[in-house]
Amino acid sequence: MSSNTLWQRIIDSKLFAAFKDSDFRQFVLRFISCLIVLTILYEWYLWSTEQQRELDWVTYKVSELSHALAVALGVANCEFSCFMDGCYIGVEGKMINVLEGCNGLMLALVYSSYIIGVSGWKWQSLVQVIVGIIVIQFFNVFRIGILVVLRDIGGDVYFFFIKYVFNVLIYLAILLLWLLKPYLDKIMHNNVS
Amino acid sequence: MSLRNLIACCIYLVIHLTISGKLGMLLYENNTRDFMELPLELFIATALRVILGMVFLHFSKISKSYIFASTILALITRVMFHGPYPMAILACWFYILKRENRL
Repeated sequence: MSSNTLWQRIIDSKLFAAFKDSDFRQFVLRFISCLIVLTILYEWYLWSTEQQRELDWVTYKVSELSHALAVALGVANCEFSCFMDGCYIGVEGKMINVLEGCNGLMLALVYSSYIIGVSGWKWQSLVQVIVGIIVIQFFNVFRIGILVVLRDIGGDVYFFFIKYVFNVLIYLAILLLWLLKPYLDKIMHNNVS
Repeated sequence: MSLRNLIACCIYLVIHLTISGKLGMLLYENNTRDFMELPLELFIATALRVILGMVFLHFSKISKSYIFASTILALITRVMFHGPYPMAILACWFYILKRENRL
């Protein structure tokens, strides 16, 4: 059996039937293309900040705002210091290390890929992507701020929150944004009309 | 979104995070941040998370070919782009159920 025939048989098998569905195939292609574009932009952004020997601006701002939130929530002697590899927030001996991976941008990239995957590269999608990224970052600041407070209080509740509660909540928040998408589409469509 | 789907989604995430948490704990106990230093544990945890994603999609009555395609997309998201695996699974799940008005 030639390799072409074998390849054809694999493609024709039931397992690949989903890729014959043109809507789903378009969704997957747009999803991946968006991931590629945004990942390149994000990697370029990280590379350029690394060249300047600085911590990236998003991680810095998320840490700074989380520190402000923790102070507002009553954490006494809450310290804040940043280095090239991340920031430290909290009370001496109970500090939280906020790394580049904690800035929520990877989650925002996949969120955005879904929006582009469903609607395509339109300006309405771009608006929703920007709104979504702001919401995710807002949630991220809230998460880290509360974690600083919980770390200060002490006990196992901190580990439960960091492991389950905030992760599940941030995923559900993204699902909610996806649920709201048709309504946002409608509002933007009406505004344009 | 129906309550059934919401609960299924929460259960999926909790189990996924538990597996990831156990792997994270193993990294911490071995005093490393590099997954590649624990290849067997990484393989087992990855296999469990992939199977879990498939079970979750199967539970939502999604056909095998779509489960296969969603798993490939999620693996691409994780391995090539370092994105969150469950988010990609949820994106496909959400897209398929929304399209079929089963959300």
